[in-house]
Amino acid sequence: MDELRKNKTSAKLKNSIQVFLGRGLLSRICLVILILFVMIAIFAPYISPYHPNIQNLRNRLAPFSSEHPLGTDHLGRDMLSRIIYGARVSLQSSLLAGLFAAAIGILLGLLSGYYGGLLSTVILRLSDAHLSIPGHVFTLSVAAVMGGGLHSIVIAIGLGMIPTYVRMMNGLVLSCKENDYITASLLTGESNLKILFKHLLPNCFPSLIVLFTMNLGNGIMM
Amino acid sequence: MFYYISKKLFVSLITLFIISLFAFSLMHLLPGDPVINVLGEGATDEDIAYWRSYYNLDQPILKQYVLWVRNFIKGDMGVSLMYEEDVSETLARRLPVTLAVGIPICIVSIFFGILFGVITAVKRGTWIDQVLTTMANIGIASPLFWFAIMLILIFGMQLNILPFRGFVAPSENFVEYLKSIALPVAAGSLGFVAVITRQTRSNMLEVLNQDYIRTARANGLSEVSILFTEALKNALIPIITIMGMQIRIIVGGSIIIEQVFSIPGIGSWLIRAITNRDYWIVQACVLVISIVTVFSNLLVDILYGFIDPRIRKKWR
Repeated sequence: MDELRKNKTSAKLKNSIQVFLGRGLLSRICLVILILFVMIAIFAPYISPYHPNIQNLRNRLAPFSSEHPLGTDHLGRDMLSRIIYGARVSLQSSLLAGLFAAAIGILLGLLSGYYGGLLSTVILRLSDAHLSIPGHVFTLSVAAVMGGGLHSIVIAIGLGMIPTYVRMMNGLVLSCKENDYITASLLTGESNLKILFKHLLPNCFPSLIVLFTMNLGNGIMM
Repeated sequence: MFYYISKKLFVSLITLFIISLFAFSLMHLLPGDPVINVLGEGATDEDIAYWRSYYNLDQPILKQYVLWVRNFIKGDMGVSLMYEEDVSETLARRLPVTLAVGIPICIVSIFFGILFGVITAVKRGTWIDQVLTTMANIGIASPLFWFAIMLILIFGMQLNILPFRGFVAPSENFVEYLKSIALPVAAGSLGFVAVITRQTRSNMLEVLNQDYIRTARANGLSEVSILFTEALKNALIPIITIMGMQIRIIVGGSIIIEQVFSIPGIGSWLIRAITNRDYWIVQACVLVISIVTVFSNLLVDILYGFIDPRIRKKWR
């Protein structure tokens, strides 16, 4: 049985990779660019020509040159190295913030869509209020209160993204809930927990992945 | 209609209440005493006690909130500890500046967004469509601050035809005002124009294929009147929804715009307050900016009914 399941999962994975690569040249180019950036971030110490924080005050604000391909900043630090190292921080913070927001937002959206009633009203009102605060204002003020450091940036950006997940998940669950297979599992007496996480959540994944990838980009911009 | 508007107003007030709770709790989420955080460790006990009682920090938390809201409504938003300026006075001076940049951004982007959207829909497949759609995609993808810096570099520093720092009030000199907001408005509206263009284009394409447009053509209506009275009106509904969502992005974007172009509005003030940990300014700014956003969304909701009689029918 386990063997069978393993085969099934690997076949699924193979299938989805094939579908992805079959989507034409553009998606392949995008994939290559993304992998390239992730690689640059991972192997930053081997790629970057200088240490990002080494200052050379005699060589401040230098233009492009063979020594410094992108010039230097106001403290004489190599811009290329700083960008390469910066990719690490950007990718890390936006990925963590995205995961943080997705975990909380998806859970709240699931509960609100499935149970409805007062719980849903409270969750949706809160997320509406959250959406009325402009994103930059929210993130900046939370970051100001939390102070510096990667973890506070991650939480500030992550908290800012939560309502988009809540709204989307709520809508998806509301429409998914009406399907016959949910009624069937209710009739067979499956627990709410099982229905929520085994039937509803996997069916909402395609739209969630789109939102997640879009939010990754937004997270980097923040 | 009265019922509909009052219902929407009620929902907006609840939203504002939640936002006020958020703005209020911002300062209290922080570990430690906000007054000591601002004044620093070297502050005397008298100073600390004075400011604590000034901001009612010695009261129970619920009473603090009630007092804060009451003072806020009365127009007393406290005093900035760093600069000893009256927060509500400064706000009254800076809010019009933000609006004087933000409202033109809205007008310009709605006008050009709808115009480009209609053009690309009508001329679908031609080179005009290709060029405008590509531009719209670039507009959506490029970051606001980068575009703003590029505008400064090209129009402000290389060509030297437009000012790129500061702001002139329209009451002082209207021509100078227009010049001073030209680059900020161009930068701020780019993304918005792009989003509206794409939305208008797809809606117009959908509407133009409908039967009633063919009927209108068969009845001999002119192409212009078909486009602007028959088709656009029906294509506008989703566009207004997008507009409602974009208002918060415009308001949020104004922070970046004001910072890059050194405009003395609320956004740049908020940034300064955040770096200085001037909580009372942050609280007031968050609340005021959110009030502006909530009420512009309310306006958009009411606007629906004026454009779509079907929604107006539901109002009764």
